[in-house]
Amino acid sequence: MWRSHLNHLWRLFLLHGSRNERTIDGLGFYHAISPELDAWSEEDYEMREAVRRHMGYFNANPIITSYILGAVINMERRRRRGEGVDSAYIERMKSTLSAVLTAKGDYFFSVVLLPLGLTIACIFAMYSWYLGPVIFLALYNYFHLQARIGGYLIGVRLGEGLGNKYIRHIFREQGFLGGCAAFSAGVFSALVLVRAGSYGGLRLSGWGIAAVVAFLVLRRKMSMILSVIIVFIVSAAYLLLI
Amino acid sequence: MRCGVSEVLAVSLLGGLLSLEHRAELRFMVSQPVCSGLLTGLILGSPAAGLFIGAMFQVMFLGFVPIKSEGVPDLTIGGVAASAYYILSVQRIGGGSVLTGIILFCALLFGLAISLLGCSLYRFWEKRTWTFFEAATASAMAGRFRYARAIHLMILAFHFLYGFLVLFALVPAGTAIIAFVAARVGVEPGGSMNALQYLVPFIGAGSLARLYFVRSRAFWFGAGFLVTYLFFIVRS
Repeated sequence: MWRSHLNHLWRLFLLHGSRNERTIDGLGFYHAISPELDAWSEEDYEMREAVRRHMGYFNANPIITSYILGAVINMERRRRRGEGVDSAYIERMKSTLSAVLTAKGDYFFSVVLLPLGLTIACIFAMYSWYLGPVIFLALYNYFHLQARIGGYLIGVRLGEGLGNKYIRHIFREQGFLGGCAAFSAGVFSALVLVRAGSYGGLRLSGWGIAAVVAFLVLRRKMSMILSVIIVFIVSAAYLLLI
Repeated sequence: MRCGVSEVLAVSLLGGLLSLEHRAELRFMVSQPVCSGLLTGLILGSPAAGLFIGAMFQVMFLGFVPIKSEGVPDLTIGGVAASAYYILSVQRIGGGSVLTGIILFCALLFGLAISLLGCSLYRFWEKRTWTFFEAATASAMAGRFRYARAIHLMILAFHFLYGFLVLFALVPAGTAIIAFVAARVGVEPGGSMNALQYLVPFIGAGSLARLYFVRSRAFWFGAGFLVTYLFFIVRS
């Protein structure tokens, strides 16, 4: 049993490798579920039909995909045992779970957890403390691995009906962590201002605040990377001119 | 001192592995510049400088949340490249305190350019991978299931090769250009660039403010700011 779980789990970590514009992660999802299909498909026709279904469009947060994969495996097993689950139902549940859970997963991991961990890491790194990256990796991966491995096992064992319960279990600290992320962002901003003030006085702090305003204005009109490059070059030019 | 082949090879291998981590979404987050900078520093024998430059690169993108319609900058390769440029250039020209500012500027700028290049290349790549997917589907429908899976794994090799080759080609060239520029910049402008390390984090503060003001977390952001600022005022 554990061998089968491990076979799925390592594939889950490589899900996005073949991302493309049309089916997004269809091939990756098929690669992740393939050990299950290999195990039960005796007839070539049945195997091809299952492969065609699971190679189709699939777009979900890669961490949350573990629960979806587990739930799909659970449903496929019930379908094989003739427990009233058909292919159309599996497809419908797969796309519903992807849509609902991805929004929550993206918010938790990209808007709350990642900025929180990175802000802490950068605060430490600004003072040359090696602990920052270690804290970041420990914090992020605690939730990441819990959601990925735990989510897969919940999906396989308990099926598709536990989406909300799973989300509540994994993301129960979301509100608290969100507050921490905003608080640490405030701490970071104050430290940046204090450091600039102590090095270059009001003039450097003033230019820094101008850079923040310029960045916010540019960001409304153009992409992140271009906004960063413009503010960065203008700041360097200012330093050369003063 | 020229950059040795073994150093460039080691940095390129690291870049290839981290590129794989980033693009395949392994999501251990070792590929974030603050971590990859430290790893690059460890490989090149200067962990403190690696952590410093990785953090400088990271702070510019602190509040960045990828949106589907927007290209995602290749921070992984950009971060490794910026760290390698900085450390190798400082080793090459000696890097007194006057020159480190200009080296920092060039290293970050080249790193940003590589991130932009990666962003454009991957947009192009995602449009073209459809052909691989078609080949995988055809194989699966013909009953060659293993072949279909091999195509998925083969594409992963592309991510590794991209990171490896970009760094292998651009690290020696970029280091030579930075050393050339730094050697020709006068002491006065070079010295004024030392303040760049205090200005760059403002970009990160801006992106974090944008993230938390629109997400109605303004109270906690303001609280964090005020508590820290007042602490320093009272202490001084």
